[in-house]
Amino acid sequence: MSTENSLITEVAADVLSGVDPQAPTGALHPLWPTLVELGWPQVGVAEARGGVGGTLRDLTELVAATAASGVSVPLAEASVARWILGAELESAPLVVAATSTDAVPWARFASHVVVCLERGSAYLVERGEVEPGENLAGEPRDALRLTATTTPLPDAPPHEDVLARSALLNAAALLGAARGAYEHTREHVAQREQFGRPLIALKAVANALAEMRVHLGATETAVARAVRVHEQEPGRALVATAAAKITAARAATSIARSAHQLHGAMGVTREHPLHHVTRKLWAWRDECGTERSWSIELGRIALGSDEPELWERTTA
Amino acid sequence: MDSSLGELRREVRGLCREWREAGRYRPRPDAWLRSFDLAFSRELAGRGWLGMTWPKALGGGERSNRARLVLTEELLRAGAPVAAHWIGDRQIGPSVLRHGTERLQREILPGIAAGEFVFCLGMSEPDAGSDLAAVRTAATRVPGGWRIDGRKIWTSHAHRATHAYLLARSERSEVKHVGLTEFVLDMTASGVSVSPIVDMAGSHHFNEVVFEDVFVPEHRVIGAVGNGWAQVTEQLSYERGGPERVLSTYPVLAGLLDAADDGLAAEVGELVARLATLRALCVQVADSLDAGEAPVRAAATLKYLGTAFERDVLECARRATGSGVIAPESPLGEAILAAPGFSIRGGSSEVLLSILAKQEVRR
Ligand SMILES: Cc1cc2nc3c(=O)[nH]c(=O)nc-3n(C[C@H](O)[C@H](O)[C@H](O)COP(=O)(O)OP(=O)(O)OC[C@H]3O[C@@H](n4cnc5c(N)ncnc54)[C@H](O)[C@@H]3O)c2cc1C
Repeated sequence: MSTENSLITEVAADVLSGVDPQAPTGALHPLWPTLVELGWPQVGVAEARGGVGGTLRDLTELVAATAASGVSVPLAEASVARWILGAELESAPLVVAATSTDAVPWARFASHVVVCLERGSAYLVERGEVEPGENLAGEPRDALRLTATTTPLPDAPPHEDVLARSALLNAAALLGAARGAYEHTREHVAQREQFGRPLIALKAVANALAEMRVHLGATETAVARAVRVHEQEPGRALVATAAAKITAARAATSIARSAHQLHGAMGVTREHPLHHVTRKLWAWRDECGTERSWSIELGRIALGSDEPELWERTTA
Repeated sequence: MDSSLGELRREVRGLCREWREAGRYRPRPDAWLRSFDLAFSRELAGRGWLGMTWPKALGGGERSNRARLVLTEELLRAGAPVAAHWIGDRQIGPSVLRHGTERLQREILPGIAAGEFVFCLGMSEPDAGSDLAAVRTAATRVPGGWRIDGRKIWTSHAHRATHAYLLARSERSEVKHVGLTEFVLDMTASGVSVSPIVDMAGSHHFNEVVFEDVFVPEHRVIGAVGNGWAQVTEQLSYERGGPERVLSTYPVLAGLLDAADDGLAAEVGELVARLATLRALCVQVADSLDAGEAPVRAAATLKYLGTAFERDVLECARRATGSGVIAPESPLGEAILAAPGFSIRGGSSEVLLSILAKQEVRR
């Protein structure tokens, strides 16, 4: 439950504080060009590959902080694309990564998409026509109509690595949105008065808030662990990511539920900022692999292992 | 950072395997409460594994809490018979080390580290459960020390213990948290009587202990007279923040790897994810102990989530059984019958949540 990395957290807080999460219809959030200028999509990518330095941990902090603010931007998707492409196509306006072609994040705003399917090798494609769609958070999830010619990317990392990195950033984003939901809720129950005192003075309310914090703490621990494994033992990255993703998705469900319960009617309005984080929790918990598919994956790995493997490789 | 953790891990595994293969113990769930074997505890002592974080001059090994976590989690994983030393090593030793006089430290710690002293925990009373500060057992000043009168209940292993930790009221006060004092007692002292309480599975691990006019010498007070409440709440973070709050049903989970079919993969996967996260939380608690902190919040979080995990392992294992009959003496049967205690002992889940809630209010 530590929040080291204070420098990057401060930078993120500076950039994000006071920003209205509501984006104008039909356009990217006005904060996005600033984030691109600051190089956020290149953080955690090796400098030799066109990155700007910084660690994977820094990147997850930025992704989490952005999510906590309620702002929707294609940071994780652009970052994964940059990590795959290296210095290639550096001046393209926006390249996003996708692990399927029927719900490509932010496709309508992208110039190119890096597609990494489970079967077949990775390729780059100009965006072309899309069939618009969106997730529960109102974020673009568009289907590609693959009309343009595709460029194979023989040097791209294998599908499994792309999935592990995307899902790790997804878990970090869930962590951030969960933090945001917790903070909104804390502030609300400390200010709102009923029965002559602030809501937080009521035992049932304080307990529900404490339970949110418990799940938040578990998610922070799980994401920090997965980041460490990615950095130090890449061979185990997929299982550690699975654990973090599942922990974050479980927390998302319970934190979003309590956040709304404790906000009362106010929380379900469009005007109140809470939905900018809770809708993300509901949308993201099943993206980059559903909670269930990750559970099955991890369960199969466990059932196919013996106890020493479970202990030493899967859960250590 | 302790450099030889891997080596320690291998040694602990080797020892457990040796004892298991020689038929000297049967791996059991909840072994840290239920499997009592002085010979095993003394074997650990002989290897310097009891009191391993304490100063060498007091029988300890001056190792880190990280190292102790390696030891404890490997023992729990193996379902080894560790109950005899668990309470002394986990919480009474550290508490005496933190608050006891030098004399008390010299008298008590080497005995725990050698596996000679077995401690029981005299906290709960018939009318003081979750409301621990309501204890009524009375400590009255007499020449040279104190006289104890009262009754403790649910005292695990009192019938085998050489010593008791005791929380008693040394002063009547308006505020119940004031006027409590901690003591170390000899179980052989005159006036101590122990009667068994049998649990629903038929095992005898806890007891009722009555103290009638029991004399305790002055130097057996832990810390300051009247400061018992502050000290015991600190002690509870040692009691709550360890891997035994996660791993009581681990042997059942291990068995599940063979028993479950693909239809349970999602459930097993979720349990595995929770276990990985909980083990990482245990490391955080150990690290903050190494940094000299008393991780009240992290320990409560760990126990709250850990005991729910222990319970859910059993539900999954139940679904994996084919015949529909679970024998009470099978690992799963034993665990199911023990499980209601998991979220009660050491502070119930509701109480932990209210501790965490108070921290929310205070923040
Ligand atoms: C297996 C086992 C071993 C034990 N070993 C020992 C031992 O060695 N030494 C020792 O001293 N004690 C021991 N205990 C006792 C244990 O510490 C107590 O059982 C525990 O503190 C709860 O007290 P109680 O049983 O009196 O329940 P109560 O306090 O009566 O609680 C009953 C129910 O009410 C709820 N409740 C109570 N207060 C609150 C509140 N403020 N807010 C919300 N809910 C509340 C509780 O959560 C619980 O659900 C052991 C218990 C068990 C089960």
